[in-house]
Amino acid sequence: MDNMGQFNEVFFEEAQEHLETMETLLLDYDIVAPDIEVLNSVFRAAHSIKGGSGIFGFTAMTGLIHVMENMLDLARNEELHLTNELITVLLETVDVLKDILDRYRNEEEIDWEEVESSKARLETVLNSATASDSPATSPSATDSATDEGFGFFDDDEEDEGFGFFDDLDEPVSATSDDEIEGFGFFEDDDSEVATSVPSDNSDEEIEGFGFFDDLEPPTNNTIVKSSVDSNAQVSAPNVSQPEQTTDRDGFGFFDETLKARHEQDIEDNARGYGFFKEGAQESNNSKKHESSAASTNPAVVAKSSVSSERKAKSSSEHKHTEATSIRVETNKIDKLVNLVGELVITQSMLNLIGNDVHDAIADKMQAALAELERNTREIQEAVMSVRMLPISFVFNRFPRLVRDLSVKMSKDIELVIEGGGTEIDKNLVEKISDPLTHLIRNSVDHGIEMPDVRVANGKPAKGTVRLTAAQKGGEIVISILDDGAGLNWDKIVAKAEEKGVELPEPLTDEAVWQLIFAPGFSTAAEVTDVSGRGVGMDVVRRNIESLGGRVEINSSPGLGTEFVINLPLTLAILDGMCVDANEQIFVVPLVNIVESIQPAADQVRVIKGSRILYVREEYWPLVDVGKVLGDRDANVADLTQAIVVLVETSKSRFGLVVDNLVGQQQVVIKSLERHYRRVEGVAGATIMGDGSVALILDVDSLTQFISFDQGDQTYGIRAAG
Amino acid sequence: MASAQQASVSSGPSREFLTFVLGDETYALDIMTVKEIRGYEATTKIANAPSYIKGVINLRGDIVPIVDLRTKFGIGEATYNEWTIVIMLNVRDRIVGIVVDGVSDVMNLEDEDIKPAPEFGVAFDSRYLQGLAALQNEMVIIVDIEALISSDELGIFEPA
Repeated sequence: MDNMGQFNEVFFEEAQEHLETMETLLLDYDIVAPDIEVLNSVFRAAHSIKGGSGIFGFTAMTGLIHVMENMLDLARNEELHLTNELITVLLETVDVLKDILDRYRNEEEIDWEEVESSKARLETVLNSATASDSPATSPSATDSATDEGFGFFDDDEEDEGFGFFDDLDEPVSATSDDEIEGFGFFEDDDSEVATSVPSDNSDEEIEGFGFFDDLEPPTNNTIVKSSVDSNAQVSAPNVSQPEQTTDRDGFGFFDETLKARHEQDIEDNARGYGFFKEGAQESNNSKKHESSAASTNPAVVAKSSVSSERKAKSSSEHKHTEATSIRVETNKIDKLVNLVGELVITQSMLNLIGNDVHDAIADKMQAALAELERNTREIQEAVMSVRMLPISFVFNRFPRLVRDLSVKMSKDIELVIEGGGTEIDKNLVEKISDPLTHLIRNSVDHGIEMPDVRVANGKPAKGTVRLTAAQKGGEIVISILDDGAGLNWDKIVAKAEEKGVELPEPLTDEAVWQLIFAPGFSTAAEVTDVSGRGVGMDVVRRNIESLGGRVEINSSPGLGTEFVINLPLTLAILDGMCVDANEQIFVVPLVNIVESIQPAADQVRVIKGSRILYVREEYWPLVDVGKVLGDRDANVADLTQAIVVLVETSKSRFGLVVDNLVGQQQVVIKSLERHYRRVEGVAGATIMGDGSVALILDVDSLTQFISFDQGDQTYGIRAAG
Repeated sequence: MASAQQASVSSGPSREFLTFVLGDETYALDIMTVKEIRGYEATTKIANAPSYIKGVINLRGDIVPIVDLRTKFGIGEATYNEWTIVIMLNVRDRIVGIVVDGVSDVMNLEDEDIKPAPEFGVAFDSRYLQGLAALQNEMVIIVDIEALISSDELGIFEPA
C-alpha cells in the first residue's frame, strides 16, 4: 500500500499541474481565431489526467474528464467552436476537477452531487452546442467559413435561443499573432533548461501517466538529428537579438519554425496527436542545444533566465523538462536554510576566537578562517537561491481572477503582466499572494469604471490593469496600475471623518491615499460580492508590512491608480551595522545607513527642548536608542561623546544616538514573533557570534519616536552649550 | 539539568504533572507542555516590555521569551543566581520560558484526584487554574499553563 501511496502522490502532483496548465491555456484561448495547437495541449493534459485517474481508480475524475475530453476533441477537430461561455464551463469543470483532486488527496468524501451536476452541465452545453453547430460542420457548409455560412448560423441561434455564436462574426482562421500566445509552453522549456542540468534517464518514473510517451522512442533519432538544424535556425536570430526585446518576440520566431515542421509531420502522422509529442520533444531538444550555444553569450543567458510569466504553470507541459529538476519538500529546504544560518553563526564565533590567537599558528588560522568565511558565504548564497522562485507563481493566478471578476461585473478588463520572471524568496511568494489578490480585486472593482462610463470619458471601453514586478537594488518592487477613475480625494476625506479616522496633518495627497488602509475604511457605496467590506485594505497593509515591505499609492483623478509594493529580496539575511547602546548590542540594517558621525559641539542644536543635529546644511532629528529601546531613563547627556548613525527611510531621515559602533556584520534574521510578539522599533532578532541575542532595529517604525516633545512648530534654533 | 521528558511514560488514565515552587506555594503543570528545564542565563532585554518579561534568549537558534512568574504574581523573591530555574514550555507551537523558584517533583494524578480550585487565596486568577490536589498533606495548585501563557494578561502572544 505504501508503494501505491507513493504513486498516488506522483499522480496528484502531475494532475495538479495538468489542471493548472489547462486553466492557463483555456484563459489564453482566443475564441475569435482559435489555435488548434492550444486545444491539443489542453486535450493532452485532460487525457493524461484521465489515464492516471483510471489507473488509480479515481472514478469521479475519470467520468467527468471523459465528457470534457469529448468536448475538447470536437473542438480540436473543428467540429465545435468554443465560445466564451463554453470556455467558462470548461474552466468551471477544471475547478471541480481540482476540488475532486484535493478530496482524493486528503482522502475526503467525494461530492458526487457536484461531480454529476458538473458532468450534466458539460453534457447539456455540449449537446446544445453541437446541435447548433452541426449545420456548420456539415459538408455543405464546412469548406469555407464564409459570411453566408455565418449568416446561416445566426438564424440557427435565434431559433434555438443560444447566444453562443454572436462573437464569431469573422471567418475562423489562425493568424500569425495568435500563434504567439498559443505557444506559451515553449517559454517554459527555455527557462527550465537554462536553470538546470539536463538528464534523460528519469523518464521512466514520469512516463507512468504519459499517454503519448509510447510514441517517442521510434521518433527519437530523427528528432535529435532534426533538432540540430532547427537549432541552427533557432538560436542564431535569438542570440543576435538585443537584450530589451521581449521574450515573446523571440518565441514568435520559434513558433514559425515549429509550425513548419509540424506541417511536415502531419503528413507522416495521420492520427492527430502523435506529432505533438514529437514537436514538443523537438523543441525541447532544440532548446537544450540553444541553451548550450547561448551559454557563450551572457546576454542570452540573462534573457532566458528572466523569461516567461508562464513558466510555473506550464511546467508539466513537456514531461522531459521534469527530468531536469527534482521535487523537494519545502520543509527540507527550510531546514537546510536554518542549518546554514547556524553555520554562519558558528563561523562568526570561530572568527572571534581566531582573533585571539597570537602565537605561531595565527597566520595559518587566519587564512583558514578566511577560507571558511568565503565558503560559508557561498553555501549561504546557494541555499538562498534554492528558495528563490519566479514571482509568476503568484501572478499566474490573476488572469483567471480578473477574467472571472470582469465577467461578473460586466466590465471589459485586460490584465497585463510584466516581470513574472523576477525571483523572490519562497516565503514571500506565499505571503504576498493574499495582499496582491486584494489589490487586484480592488482595482477591478473600484478602479476600472463601467465600459459606458469609460467611453463617455473618452477612454477605451476596455480597461487595463497592469501588474509588474522588478528587482531594484535589494528590493522587489511590485506595481499594480489601473487606468480607471483614480481615487476620490473628497470622498476619502469625507469618509474618514464619518468613520472617525484621524486625519493626517498636513493633508497631502499621499497622506489622504494612505487613509484607505485604515481599519474599517471602505468608500464603496454598496458592499459588492467582490470587495467593499472594508476589511481588505488594512489587512493588505498589515500583511505587507509584516513582510518588511511597504506600500505606496499614486493616483490621478480620471487617469488611474497605482499601488507600489516594495519588498525585501529575502527575509532571511541582512547586512547590518552592530552598535552598542547602553551596553546592549543592536543591529542597524546597512541599507538604511547614510553615515555615522561623532558630532562636534557646534553641530548640536536645540529646538523646543529637543536636540537635533545640523549636518551639511540639513537638520536631523534624533532618536536615542539607549533610551527608546534600552532601559536608560534619560537621553545621552553629552552628544559629543556619542556616535550618531544617520539613517534614512523612504519617509524620513534622522539620527540614531548610540554609544559605540561595534562592526559590520551579515546577520541571520530570526523572527521575534515566532515565540513572542511584535515589538515597536524592532524588526527581528539575530544571534551573535557569542550565542547571545541582538535586536535588529526597524528604522521605519523608529520614526515614531522622533518628535516626542515638539509640541508646536516654533523654531527657535540656538547653539547648545 | 535533566530532561523532564524522560519521566513522561504515561500509564492508564492518569496524567503526569511537574511540580514547581513559587514563594511558599507548590504549583503543578502538565508535563506534556514541558520542553526542558535549564538554568537561568542572561537575557537580551526587550524595549517597552513589562518588567516580568525578562527578555529573550537564544534556545538553539530560536529566539525565546523568558517570563518571571514571581515578578508577575508578586510571589517569592526575584533573585537570579546559578540555582534559578527556567522551565521551557511548548505552548500552542511556541516556546516560552518561565522563571520559578525551583522544580520539585513529577507526580501522577488521576482526574478524580483533582478538586475544584478555590476562588481566592491563590496568586493566580482562577481562569488559569485547573484545580487543587493533595500531595503528602500539602496542597498543590494545578495551573492551566496553556491558558496562562497564552492569556492577554501576560501579553506574550499577539492579542487575537
